[in-house]
Amino acid sequence: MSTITTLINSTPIPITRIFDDTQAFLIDPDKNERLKKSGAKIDKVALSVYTLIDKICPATIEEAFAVAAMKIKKNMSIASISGVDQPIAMTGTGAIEEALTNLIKIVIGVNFTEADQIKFAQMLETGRMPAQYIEAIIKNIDDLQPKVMRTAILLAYQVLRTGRMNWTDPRTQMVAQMNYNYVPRLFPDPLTGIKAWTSYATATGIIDLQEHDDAYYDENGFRAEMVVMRTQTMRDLCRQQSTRDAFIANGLASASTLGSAAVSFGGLQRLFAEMLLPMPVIMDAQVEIEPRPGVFQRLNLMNTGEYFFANENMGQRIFGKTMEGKGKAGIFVDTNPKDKRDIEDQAIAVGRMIPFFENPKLLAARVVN
Amino acid sequence: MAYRVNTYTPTPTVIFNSRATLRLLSYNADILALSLAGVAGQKLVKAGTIYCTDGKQLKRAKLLTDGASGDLGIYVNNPWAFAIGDVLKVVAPIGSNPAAELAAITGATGAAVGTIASIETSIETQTSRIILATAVVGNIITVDFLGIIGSYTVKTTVVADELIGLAKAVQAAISRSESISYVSVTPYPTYIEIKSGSDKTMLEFTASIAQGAGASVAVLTTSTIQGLGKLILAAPLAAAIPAGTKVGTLDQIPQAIWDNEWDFGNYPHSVPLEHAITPCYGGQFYLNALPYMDAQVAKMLPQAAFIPAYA
Repeated sequence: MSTITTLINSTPIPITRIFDDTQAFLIDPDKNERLKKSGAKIDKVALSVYTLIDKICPATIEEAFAVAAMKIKKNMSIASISGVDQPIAMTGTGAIEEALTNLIKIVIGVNFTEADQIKFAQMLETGRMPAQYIEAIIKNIDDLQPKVMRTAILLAYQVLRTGRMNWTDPRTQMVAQMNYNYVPRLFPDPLTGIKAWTSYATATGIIDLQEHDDAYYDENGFRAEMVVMRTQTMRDLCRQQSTRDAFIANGLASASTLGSAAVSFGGLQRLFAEMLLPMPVIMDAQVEIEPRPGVFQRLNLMNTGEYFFANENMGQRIFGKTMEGKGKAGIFVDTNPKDKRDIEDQAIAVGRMIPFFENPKLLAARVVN
Repeated sequence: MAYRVNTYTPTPTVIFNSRATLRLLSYNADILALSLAGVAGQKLVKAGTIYCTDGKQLKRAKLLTDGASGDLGIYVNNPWAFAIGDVLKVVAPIGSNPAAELAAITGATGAAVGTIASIETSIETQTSRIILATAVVGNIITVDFLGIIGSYTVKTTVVADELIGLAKAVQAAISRSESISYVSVTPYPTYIEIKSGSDKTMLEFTASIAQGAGASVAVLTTSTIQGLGKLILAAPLAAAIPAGTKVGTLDQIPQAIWDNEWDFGNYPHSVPLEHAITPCYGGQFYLNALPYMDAQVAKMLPQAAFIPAYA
């Protein structure tokens, strides 16, 4: 709590150890670097939860201040039957629909006041804190660009999970809203009561998924590549009696060897492959939000009890031009003194982006408990 | 061997954007450490407290938990600002709009709370309770630790069972935040107890109950068993005052806002010059980062913008 008084009045003892308690691994993929330094193993599986969005909805750059898309719909209806001396039945050629989307401005800045700088200078002078440790606490502008990127990731996941974007920023109270014209039957009603995936005895998870996937197939003509959910949701699916029955019925285990055990994750993957269902993928990544200045909270990018279908490159996180970047596209990072006294520093990062899904028919998700 | 922990905690950001900040240029805008109450070994100027024309902190604060009729003391979220002999009034009734609040402050029409007889200085940990009288199925109970929100829907009419569920929901919310992870939540048959695990830390929370799908709304109250800086009054409270009520003296004139937190615990007298702290009279501020705010502050700081606006 107290900083200056404590530091000044305490006898300097050089710090010999440092460990980073800032963030849970799930919110910070860069932690791998730090894990490596402290001799821990890199967790490739956990890292994949963060790279998944780069597969589904990669970040791209567009040299524009807004995204303009054009949807072309050809008339594919078949020809008609006619008789001799009868007129020819005519039809239209097709339609063109334009969609113009403004970009959402995502910003963050950190300020180093004179008081902050004195605190750090004193830490250095008392010999308690080597400079690199202070850099570890406040990594300066390196940290800002990921912050912008994570907001973009959060918005992209909202569209994937719900077919729309509706995010109220806790700091500014500004609302980012966008509604993709998704197909209603690809966002079926939530499963509740005896159908909820947590009702292990009565839920019919595999059949629910099959019906949903068939609707997706009917709309698109191909099946989704993967079905993404949290570990807990997948565990709920594995525990269901109906999943165990399907596992046995497909010859993946005999009733006597499976006993009363839940199906394993590996087993579930094999079962899905047998049943032509999308590949099950785990996504547990989190972000940290600041619901109130100085108060931080971890937020799951996906809730427990929901899943969505996804394909590689089905969408893009489009970053457009910013005025801060002198009209160049991308995430613009800058640090400069507040005024000519050069005491207060300010570092900012600005990006303008939109989670863009050209084909809203590829969006499909459901709440399952 | 003593295991000593010194911490550097970044000051909660009060300023929305420092570009627009206007600082008071008076070199007299120094606070006298003498004027601060020493509570739990600290003489704290919280980030976002208001500096007044008399060179002191604004002696107004929010009630941490419900004050019951007959209580001889109250717990507020900024006891450091107060001094023995301060005459406290209710600033304005809860739910007043800014215009009504300003009228109540300038007219000093609020109900009397009492005169501070002494301030409890030695207690360093806090224990508070959330008390549920009855359980109504469908009611929604929300506990909010400065933005970390635990919410629970009542499922049965058994109070003890529901408190276990509530405690779990609150603990789950807390465990997702590094900011308040050292708080324990324990269910008891008629209340849940909230304890700060680290010394000298004030726990600010609000507890509320909404009807939800229930047939009626049950009564939910809060109390503090022990806490930092109890303001002990000369006479017991004549009437109950709900948590969150703004109380304080009404004769000060707000002038500026401190954007940094400072602890003058070890300075007995005035603050040495090198630690002079300059408050801001203009700029953009996060409204919900301020420990206290009222309509008079908004009026007296015309160059300050609050985000969101104070309304």
